Amino acid sequence: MSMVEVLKVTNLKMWYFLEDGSKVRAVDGVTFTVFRGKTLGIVGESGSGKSSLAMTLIRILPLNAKIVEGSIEIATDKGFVDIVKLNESELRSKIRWKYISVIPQGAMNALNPFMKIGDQIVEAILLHENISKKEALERAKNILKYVGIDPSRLDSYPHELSGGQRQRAVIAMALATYPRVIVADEPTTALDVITQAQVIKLLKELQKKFNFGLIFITHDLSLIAQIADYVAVMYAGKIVEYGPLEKLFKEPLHPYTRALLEAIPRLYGEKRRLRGIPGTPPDLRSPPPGCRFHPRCPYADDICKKEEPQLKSVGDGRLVACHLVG
Amino acid sequence: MSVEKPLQPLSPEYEEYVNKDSEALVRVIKLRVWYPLVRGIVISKKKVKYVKAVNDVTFTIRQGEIFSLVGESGCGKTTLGKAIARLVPVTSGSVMIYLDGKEVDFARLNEKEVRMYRRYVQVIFQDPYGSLNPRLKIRDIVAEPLYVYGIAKKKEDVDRLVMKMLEQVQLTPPQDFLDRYPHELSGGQRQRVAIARALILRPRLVVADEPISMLDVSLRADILNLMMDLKDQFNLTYLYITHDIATARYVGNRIGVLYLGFLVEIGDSDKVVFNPAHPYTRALIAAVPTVDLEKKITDIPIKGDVPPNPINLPEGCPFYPRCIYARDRCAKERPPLIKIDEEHFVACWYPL
Repeated sequence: MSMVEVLKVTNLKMWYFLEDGSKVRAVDGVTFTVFRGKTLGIVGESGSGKSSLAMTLIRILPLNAKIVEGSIEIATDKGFVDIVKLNESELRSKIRWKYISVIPQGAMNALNPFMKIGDQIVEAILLHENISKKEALERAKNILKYVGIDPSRLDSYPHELSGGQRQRAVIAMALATYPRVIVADEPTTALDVITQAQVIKLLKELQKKFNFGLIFITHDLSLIAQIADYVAVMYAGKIVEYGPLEKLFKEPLHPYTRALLEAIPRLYGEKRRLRGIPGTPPDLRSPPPGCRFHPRCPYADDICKKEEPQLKSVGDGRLVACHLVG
Repeated sequence: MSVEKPLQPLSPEYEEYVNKDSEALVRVIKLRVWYPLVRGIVISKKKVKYVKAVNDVTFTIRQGEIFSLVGESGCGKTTLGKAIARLVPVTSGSVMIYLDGKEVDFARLNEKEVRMYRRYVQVIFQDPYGSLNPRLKIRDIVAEPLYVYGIAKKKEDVDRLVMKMLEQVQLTPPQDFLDRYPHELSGGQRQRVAIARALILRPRLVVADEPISMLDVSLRADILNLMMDLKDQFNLTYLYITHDIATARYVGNRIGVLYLGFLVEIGDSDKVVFNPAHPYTRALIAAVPTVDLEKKITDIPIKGDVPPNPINLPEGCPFYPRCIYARDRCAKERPPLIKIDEEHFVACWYPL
């Protein structure tokens, strides 16, 4: 089966422009592709730009944020459309939610507390599709069933649902228009492990059924291991390593990826001393010259301090941005 | 309220395990923490309801050990930790701590005594942003316990002790940190300050409540390593409270699993993780995501997605409403902790 591209992001840059004239380069030249029915896991620590990237993809950005370069091409019925080039009303009426939707961070609080669950889903459908209210209601019922909520809950208010059910309702909303791409930004952080596991399992089942491309953004490598087919590791606004899950986890190439994997205890692994990563992520107003990881990298060389490494192919579908690899 | 009737019966073998534990620094006996649900002044004769956060928990924490207490949010693990440190009032039961050759029941201390003994039991909280007074400089945050206990009064003595402590938590050079405020530090540095404050009085027991869960992954390992190093250096004993069973096993000599305020399994940390005997522990472990690609999350062997509420406890086993193995007896009788292996006990009528 050949891989069908549903989202192509090329050299995307989104910067925040602060009042004092400084710039925060939160997303600074990011390139990746999302395939139909596959999951791209994007992992990064706080300040890596991963959440900014999520919001950039659907262009829900604060006023001081600006896409300064690059493209976000989404597959539509009329071929690829560059989200960056659309004006807000075109984006809202033709693309956002219809082709690309989002499960936001803190999804538990993403529902309108004063509206019944069913009405919220129906509204999302009717805003983007030209179907009758009755059809929309019918679809809302089905979607609720798919996410494991009893359709009788259409008339419930968010506070009447448990945390896990609310999370499912948010997933139902993201799914209601059968988008080609769903962006999930830390969708399980507020949940307990058992609920989290159930949500992960649900996302996988839904993906099998509806074949959407999923971008799963998290700080947690262990969640990536559970859900991703491909992984992009972000550091200081850039992707430093990309590759198929198994290869990247079994043989990480970038020193940062390697260090991250070393820093996490394995449930069944040998009880050895963990190794943290010294220092802290850089301030994105003035990122270090050269490789942005060099101040924390044990292997850093002279070239790392001067020249910025480009993300380059090293075979096996893998990309690495490191002077010392490949 | 009826305190007489035990919520969780004690088996003779478990009672012996706890009472004959010669290494115990802390002996928690039938500890119960219930919060009355009252609004304003209640004069009515209606029975007051309680949030039953901790229900007759019995276990020991051994000298020099790291005891990991695991459970999901709302299971009572934080309340249990706070009760042991006497930060919340205890409803019944006792917390016997061996200090200077004698046993002190922390649950029975009066206000004055609590102040006297608190120095021996210190707490590190989850949130290094909320647990440090933002108006105080690092020097004063770390020095505060010294003033409270009148251990050092002269500024040069205080500074010397504080700087030594900052060095020991690897905030170096220490003079760079003395005059800074918490907001000028990173999350990892703040947690180091919290650790410094907790350890400056040389406590015997440290209750560490999710000390790394708010930190970035790359910083967590260093904080855990630091805590382990300081344990050896200062001869400490830890109660490590966490939702993360991987780190619980990693640092813990033993693991206790709490569900709905009941201790449902306790044992050697490898035994609990590799051979979980309680259906809840098994579900919890099945649900934990790990970086091991071989262990994928599949079906979680559990019913429903929320624990019952801690106001109306289930009649029998606290876990039976969600247990996929539950039988008749489970709904009627509450199981005691029984021995299934050396250093491994489980509260289940039909252990796995």
